[in-house]
Amino acid sequence: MAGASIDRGIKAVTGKQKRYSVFSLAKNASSYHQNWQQAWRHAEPKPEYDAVIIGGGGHGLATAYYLASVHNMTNIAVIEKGWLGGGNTGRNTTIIRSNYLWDESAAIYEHALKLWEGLAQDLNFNIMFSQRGVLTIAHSEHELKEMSRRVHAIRLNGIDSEVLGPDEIAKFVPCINMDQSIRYPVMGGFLQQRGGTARHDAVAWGYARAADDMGVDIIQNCEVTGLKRSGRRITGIQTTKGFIKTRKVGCVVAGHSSLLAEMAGIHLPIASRPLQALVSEPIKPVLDTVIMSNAVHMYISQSDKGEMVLGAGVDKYNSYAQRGSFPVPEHMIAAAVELFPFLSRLRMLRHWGGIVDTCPDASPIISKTDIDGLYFNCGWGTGGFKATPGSGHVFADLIAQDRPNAIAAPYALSRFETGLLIDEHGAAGVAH
Amino acid sequence: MRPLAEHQISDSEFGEYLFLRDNPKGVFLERWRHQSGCRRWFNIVRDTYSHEIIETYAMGATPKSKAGKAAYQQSWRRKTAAEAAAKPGKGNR
Ligand SMILES: Cc1cc2nc3c(=O)[nH]c(=O)nc-3n(C[C@H](O)[C@H](O)[C@H](O)COP(=O)(O)OP(=O)(O)OC[C@H]3O[C@@H](n4cnc5c(N)ncnc54)[C@H](O)[C@@H]3O)c2cc1C
Repeated sequence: MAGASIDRGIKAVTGKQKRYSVFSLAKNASSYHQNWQQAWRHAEPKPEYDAVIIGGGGHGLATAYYLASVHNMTNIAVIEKGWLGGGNTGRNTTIIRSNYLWDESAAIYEHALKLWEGLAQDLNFNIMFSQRGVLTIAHSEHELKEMSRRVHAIRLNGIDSEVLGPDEIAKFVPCINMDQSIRYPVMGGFLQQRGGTARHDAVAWGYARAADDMGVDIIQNCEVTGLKRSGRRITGIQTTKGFIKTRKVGCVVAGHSSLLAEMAGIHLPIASRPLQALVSEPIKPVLDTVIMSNAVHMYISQSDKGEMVLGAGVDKYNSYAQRGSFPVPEHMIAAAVELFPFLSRLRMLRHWGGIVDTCPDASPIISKTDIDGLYFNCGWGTGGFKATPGSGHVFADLIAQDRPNAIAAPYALSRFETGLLIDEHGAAGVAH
Repeated sequence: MRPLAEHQISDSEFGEYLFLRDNPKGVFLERWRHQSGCRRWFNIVRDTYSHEIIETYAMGATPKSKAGKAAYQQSWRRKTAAEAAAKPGKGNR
């Protein structure tokens, strides 16, 4: 995946914002942390912008940041109906990796991973990116064979990936149950050492602060209720804070994408489904990597606070209620307790759901539409957090240039007409 | 409904039938299967925000409740080429 170096747009946080540093920490400690500057302004909408991004999740904020920093489009706004990162960005289990099977997926997820590496420096914000490794385990001979095939394909794309045998796993993850007589014994696995986790809220806040610093208006508590067009061109958006004139609109609203699309008379191949996660009470460090299992559909990591973070599969029915059904977490917890018996002693503190935008081929949509100036970035479903920087980077490029670059091109809506799907079901490793 | 006369509609119209989804926040028409019971398929009118089940009805029938009827009639699918090609008639088997 060698290629031209990425324009990371590093010119942020030099303007009005004071830089965070060890000196600023010491200085603010002496005034009892009462005088920290605001991380971003509470902007009110202007009558007109060069572009408007709908959705203040990680993907929308990253898009705004790269529009401003790489493409010099600073007269833009991000419109968020709730609070920044209150959608799936703040609800996910934060697993980051780029070990996907297909070339198109490898290109975009690796683009993102390269941006993750160094993102904290770019943004001058501690996003707590931790390359602790992501280990996907196999529970059958067949799964193991399929895994090694996948590892070779991934390596051909220049992405780090290796097969681990049971002995290596036992050493790498001392707390895992290696008993071969359990229902789903651990028979091997594959590891991406460069994978890991990041602090989800910090990603949204870091992008927001850096974008604001370049003059981007970030408008919260403002819902988009209509898209206005004249003929085949977008001319503005209707919001709960009034009408905003603009000729470019980027929709990045995850589970609400179909609703936005319907406002413009467009139908998407998306179904909105609940996806659930839960965290335990905090305990001392026991797990210093991320474990995921495709067969039992469970993934687990330990947060820096010490909580065990557990995620499950998607519920099978459509919903906008941001909560899921009981059987899904029950099934996941049964599998988790078998693999990590010590979990049975832990109390679970919080449990929640997010509404994910699932696509028929389990790949995202990054696309122009039939309406000039209207762009969609959605369909990331259960696994878009890891793509946040890469998604924002290529989407900003699409909006600024009005044509997709090589990484974004395969993700156009037209694939649902041509049949050139990017079928990542199963191929992806697991849903995340 | 699957278009019977596939050859009479374009790739884009078939793609629309195959891939594009009704995905409303509110009243939604869907098909369920009683997997651990009688294994029969049936139709359901459900609210995707409140999770209220408004009505169930047999395969091949159309909804009877006011909300279900409105959702059925107002769906953009009623006006698609694929739906027209699904009706038995001239050129269609
Ligand atoms: C439980 C769970 C676990 C997950 N685990 C992982 C994981 O481990 N790894 C991974 O890579 N991915 C994971 N994901 C998926 C990941 O969270 C998403 O793909 C990603 O965060 C989507 O980011 P986004 O910015 O596109 O969407 P969001 O963060 O959902 O942002 C969309 C925003 O749009 C706003 N909005 C909606 N409608 C309107 C409107 N009309 N007007 C204005 N604003 C509007 C919403 O309020 C929301 O804030 C998980 C998701 C869930 C729910």
